[in-house]
Amino acid sequence: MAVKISMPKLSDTMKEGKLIKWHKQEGDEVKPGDVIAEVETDKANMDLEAFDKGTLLKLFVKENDRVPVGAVLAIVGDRKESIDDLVGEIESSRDAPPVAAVPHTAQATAAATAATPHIPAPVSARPLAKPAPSVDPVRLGLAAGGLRASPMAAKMAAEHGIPLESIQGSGPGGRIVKNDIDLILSQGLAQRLPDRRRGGTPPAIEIQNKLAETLTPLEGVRKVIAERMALAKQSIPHFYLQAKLRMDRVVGFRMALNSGQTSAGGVAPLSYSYNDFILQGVCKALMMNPGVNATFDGIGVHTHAQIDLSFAVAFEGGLITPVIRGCDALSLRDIHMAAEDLVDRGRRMKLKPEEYLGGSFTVSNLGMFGLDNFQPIINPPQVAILAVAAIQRQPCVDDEGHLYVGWEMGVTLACDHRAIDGAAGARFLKDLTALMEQPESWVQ
Amino acid sequence: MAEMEFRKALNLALDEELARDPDVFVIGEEVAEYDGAYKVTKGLLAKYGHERVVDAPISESGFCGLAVGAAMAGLRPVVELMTFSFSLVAIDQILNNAAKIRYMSGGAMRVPLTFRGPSGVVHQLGATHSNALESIFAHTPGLKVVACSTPENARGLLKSAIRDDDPVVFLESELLYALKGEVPDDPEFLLPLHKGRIAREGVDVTIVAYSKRLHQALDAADRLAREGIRAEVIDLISLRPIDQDILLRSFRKTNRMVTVEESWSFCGIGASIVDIVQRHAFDFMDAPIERVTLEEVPMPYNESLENFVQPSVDKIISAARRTLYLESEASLHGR
Repeated sequence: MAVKISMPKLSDTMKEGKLIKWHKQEGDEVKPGDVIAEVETDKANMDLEAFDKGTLLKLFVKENDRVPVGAVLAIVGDRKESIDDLVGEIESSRDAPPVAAVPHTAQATAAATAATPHIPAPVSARPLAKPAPSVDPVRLGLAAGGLRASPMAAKMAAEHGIPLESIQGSGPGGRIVKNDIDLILSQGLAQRLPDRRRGGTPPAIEIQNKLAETLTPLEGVRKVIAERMALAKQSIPHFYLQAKLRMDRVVGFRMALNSGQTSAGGVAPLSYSYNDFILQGVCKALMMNPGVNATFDGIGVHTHAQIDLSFAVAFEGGLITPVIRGCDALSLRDIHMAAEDLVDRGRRMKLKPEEYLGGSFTVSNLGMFGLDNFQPIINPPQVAILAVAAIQRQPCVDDEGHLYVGWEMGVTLACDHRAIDGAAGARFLKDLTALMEQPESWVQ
Repeated sequence: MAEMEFRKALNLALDEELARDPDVFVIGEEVAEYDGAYKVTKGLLAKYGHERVVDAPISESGFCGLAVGAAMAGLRPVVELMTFSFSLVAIDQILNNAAKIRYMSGGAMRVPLTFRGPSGVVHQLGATHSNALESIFAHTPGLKVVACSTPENARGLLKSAIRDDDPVVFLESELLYALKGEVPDDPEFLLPLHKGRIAREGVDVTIVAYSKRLHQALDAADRLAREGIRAEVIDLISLRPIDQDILLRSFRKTNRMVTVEESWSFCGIGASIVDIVQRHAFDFMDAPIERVTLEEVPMPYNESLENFVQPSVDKIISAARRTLYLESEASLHGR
């Protein structure tokens, strides 16, 4: 029997969705669990997964089309069956106004508000991944208690080891209720929980033997790195301070900024990276800790009234640390633009010397590799360097002692003990930690 | 087992207890010569005489007070109130004397006394004759409050109430008097005054009701079953003390509850049930507990309005569906 696949409502605020990509085409066989398409909502991109087995008989929406929630995207059915009637019905209804017309009278509005059904309409596709956490422009990030579940549902989830944040609640306001858990249990956990491999079995890892006898002469960038790092590691008495930063609010704030939902502090919407936030946050922490924004020449410590922020950029066969001059005075947008430009030209080896020499502090970000933490080598004559590891989902404890799943980022500050003492470095990290917990107070 | 009417089951209980214990006597308006306003005391005068089946003047405060004194002196009076609406003129005797004398006398005196009669709305008797006052009685320490719902439990409970050494408020319903049902023959058939019973087993939602509302709850459960919802129905029976165990056992199974009561919502029986459940079974709650009560108005005389303000099978079904998130609040008023 032919089944319609509709644009699902993937968040409370979603009114329409954009079909980014069809992963299956007309005539393709689909089975439950297959990713049919990728959909962009107001919050995030999500995969649409088939509920039913059959043939994808008809696609109604082109890639990059925006359609309202509930609009029919496709029909799945038996290869041989006729769907002419269904197609006619769907195509004629597409021209009609949206089903949820705005009621005009006050009475109708009240009735509609009160009567809003919380039972999701049956759709034949469901999101594979959970929707992005909803972002409240006032209170950003993942607040503890933001997830709503009935006590019974919470108890059942705990007993069966089901992460609540992976469930879309069917109760009012997205409340997760007993029926949602029953459904998961009856369908089998594996089918319903978000598949972190996104799309079932991961492709087999192909192992190519690339081993070879080669000899590369030490020259150019490699030579500079070899000399400077040997000198730095051998002559500078490094000590290392580590911290875990709670990034919940940065994650939420960035999501809000990038989705254009807020323009807090007059920040213009752009595709900001976490690195932009980290660079600006580091500047603020340096402003509070001038002893860390310093250089050391063996004779004296020179603190600087301006932050020239170096950040490490890797490229094939090397590494360069371009400098954002006067970074303390720049807006998030300026930092973003400057960093983007420097990274781009850095990777193509197009930087001029004054663009990579003479920084006052360095940030080395290897977050993209999923590391918990790492220990960097100071870039002399600077007196400290901050290693930034991945922002990861972690079990976290909120201020009230409740466990929740939050976002954490590991950092390590390496300091030159000739110039800085442990307490001074620790103070810098403490300030950075506090700053990252409330980006809305300083991002500009 | 024999099939008999509700009123006959009560009559049998009175007859048996009058025969069993010479200290038992019946007093009330029209209970003797007229055989009772609802014929519950039919034939008792002829059998036991004027000393033990006493016609009282229209003075509830007088004969309720007399009964309290008689109970203190060692008798076991059974007071018939023509309707519990009339207990209001004797409320001092019931709440202040019957309920408190055992306590005030340091346990020296007991008040083995039963106040019985119909309670709640009947049909177009107007606001002052349609009271359901169980919340007031159940509110008061010192009283036991029982609501019977079938001929079987009417008989077993009334006999237990008469034999109990404390004052019992025994609530009947005029609309149940003609209900027929099987009643055990055993003259020692007694039911505990502090226990509810499972009237129908289910797993999806617990409907708690008592007295005539039990029958609406059972009808609602029948209709819910047709849409695949298996409701458990509890016949509460004891309103004070309330049977916590049966409520909590059922709720821990179903995780959803609807309470149905004869009276108004505020400070009602259902409010106390909600209190018990949220306190002792918080982790088992899946939805707010729904209550079906009288609307907050004096009982209208107008028949349509009288029906509208009462609990109904439709209202109970709606409430049950709401606890299952199958329906939202608005649809109730749309009915």
